Amino acid sequence: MKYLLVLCLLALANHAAFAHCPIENRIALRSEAVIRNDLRQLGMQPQTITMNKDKATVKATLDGNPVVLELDRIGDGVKFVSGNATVKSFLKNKLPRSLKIGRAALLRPITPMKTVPVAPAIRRPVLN
Amino acid sequence: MINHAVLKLLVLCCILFATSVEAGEQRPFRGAVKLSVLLCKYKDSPTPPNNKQFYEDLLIKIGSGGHADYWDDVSHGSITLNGSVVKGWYTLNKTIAESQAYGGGGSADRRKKHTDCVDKAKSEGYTPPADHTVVVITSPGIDTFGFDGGAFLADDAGIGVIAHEVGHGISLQHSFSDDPNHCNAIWASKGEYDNQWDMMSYSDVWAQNLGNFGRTGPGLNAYHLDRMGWLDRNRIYRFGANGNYDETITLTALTRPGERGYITARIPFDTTDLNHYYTVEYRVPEGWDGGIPGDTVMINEVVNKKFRKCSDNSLSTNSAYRSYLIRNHTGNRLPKESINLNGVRIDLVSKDASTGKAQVRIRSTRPEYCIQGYVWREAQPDDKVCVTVARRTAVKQENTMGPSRRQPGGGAYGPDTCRQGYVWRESKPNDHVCVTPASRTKVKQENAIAWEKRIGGATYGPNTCKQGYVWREADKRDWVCVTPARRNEVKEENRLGPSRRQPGGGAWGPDTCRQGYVWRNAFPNDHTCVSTTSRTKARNENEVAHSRLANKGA
Repeated sequence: MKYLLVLCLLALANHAAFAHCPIENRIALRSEAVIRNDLRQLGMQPQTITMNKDKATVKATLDGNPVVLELDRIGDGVKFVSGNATVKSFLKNKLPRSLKIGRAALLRPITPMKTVPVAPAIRRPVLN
Repeated sequence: MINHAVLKLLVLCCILFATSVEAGEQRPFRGAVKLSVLLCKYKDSPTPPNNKQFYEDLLIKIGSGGHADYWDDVSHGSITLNGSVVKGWYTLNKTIAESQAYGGGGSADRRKKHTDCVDKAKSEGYTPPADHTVVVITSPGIDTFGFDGGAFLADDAGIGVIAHEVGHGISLQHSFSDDPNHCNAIWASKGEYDNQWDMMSYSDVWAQNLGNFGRTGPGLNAYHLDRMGWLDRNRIYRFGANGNYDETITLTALTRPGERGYITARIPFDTTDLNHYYTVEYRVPEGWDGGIPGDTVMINEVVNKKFRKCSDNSLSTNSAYRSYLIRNHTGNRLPKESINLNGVRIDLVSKDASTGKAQVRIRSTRPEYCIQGYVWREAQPDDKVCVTVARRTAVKQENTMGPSRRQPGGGAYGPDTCRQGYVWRESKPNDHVCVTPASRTKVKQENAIAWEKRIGGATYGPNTCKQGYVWREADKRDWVCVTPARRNEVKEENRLGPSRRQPGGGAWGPDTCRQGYVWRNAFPNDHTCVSTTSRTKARNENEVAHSRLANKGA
């Protein structure tokens, strides 16, 4: 009986400790291969990708225009670091929620607009 | 002497404790995942980028192309988000910096970021019900994490991160690869998050960008679908169950559950653990799998083992079942579409992304091996019926005694004619060893249930019921374990269901039940008309489904 009591108390103590220190589920970091795939999905040609803990700095081109982005490797955030207005506008349409325009980018002179490739309509994926 | 009342209280506490430990596990599971989504901002936050309606569309509204549709499609219609709500925006009495000061990963106070928002909602009249997963979204985003029963996300979180956390909430675990050197992050174990074709490896997955709804990952791998009970029984190929050990099967892409073909195959090979097997599946870049670079056949090993931490290379104390993608460890690191491992050979024969079909040839004699505690009978050299060791010994003795039990000089049945009192054993038609009639009867019985004791026949997957229970089988995908009597009752309900409908339909549409009957609701859209008692039974069975599994961790 005493043994049972001790076991129960230990279990309860562990439970109490667990309740106060819940285990958090962590999310993976995006790897370079996945970032390259993400960029290709956006129509970009990645050139160099520099990983830095939970951030990645990407140099890429979009229709020949250079662009520099800073990606959040855990979340979905994309920060526009530099690039011309065409690229910025394109990304703003493609990434309307996650794109953040950095201060440096905001201070850059706006280059004349050119025809921006039209992104495919975003709709619910069709499943057979 | 311990006071009896105190002892009773302690025992009750222990029971409650035991129950609460299992509360996180919810499988097999079909039904509503209920979310309380709380939108919180800080007193110095800029105006949030989106209103409440936006998050309703993103997270809980079916048909919006968002998170609710993701689960509807990926679970093959097994789960809904019915009953979920979005509340807010609430303004916390804290600055962004003050909340950030709670710290990130590793900080004991990290959860307070979540708690503050829940407390604020409560103070403004909304208390999330106990059966809800509480998702807190802050503007601006200051952290991303999840835990059993909740998640904390940024205002720009996409479908992928939300789906990953909700996946944890319904007991899905991270996926792995078999690469022993792969470390995704310092907090990961080796091989963890290394299946880019599975949402439970998010963020490191082949994703696509859905614009306003952000980045989303692919569906789930076949093991996860099987484990949750989201696959029809007849869509899972149980290699070796039919006694064939060289088979070519047609797989249908996971994104095409409505088409013919197997969704996955389980290939057992371990005599000591029936939940240790390979799975094979076919994935094509379409639908939620649209970010996948190309079509591929994928083989996973489902195995119970310890994890080696990336941080210090130490082994975890406990082991657990996970799916490990078999892939190349160098170069392109693509999944291996053919393997020859552990006595199992799987070869890709053909694949065609346009038809969503792949053919694989599977060869292995391992499923013919006996489960633990059994051995081949060996009445003849090729006799692979599984029996106990004692029984094999007895058979061996019969073989020795056999010639002495023959009629000297033969008889009516030729030279092998047995003496009076003995008969041919007939383990196979040509088995003319003379044994007692009782022994022949035993052999006949052993032959009839031979498949049960082979690993091919005895492997029923992660939702195998514990002794005394069987699958309810209210439909092809009903993996809930019940008593055999209850299964018969459900079978009868299915038979009688149509006759219990209101002729011509009624207030609830064509499936409206006649007076005295209600929908069973054993799973979403289960409109079989039953008594209220049976509906209550079904609900209770669903709630205890996990506790009736033979191996709750498998």
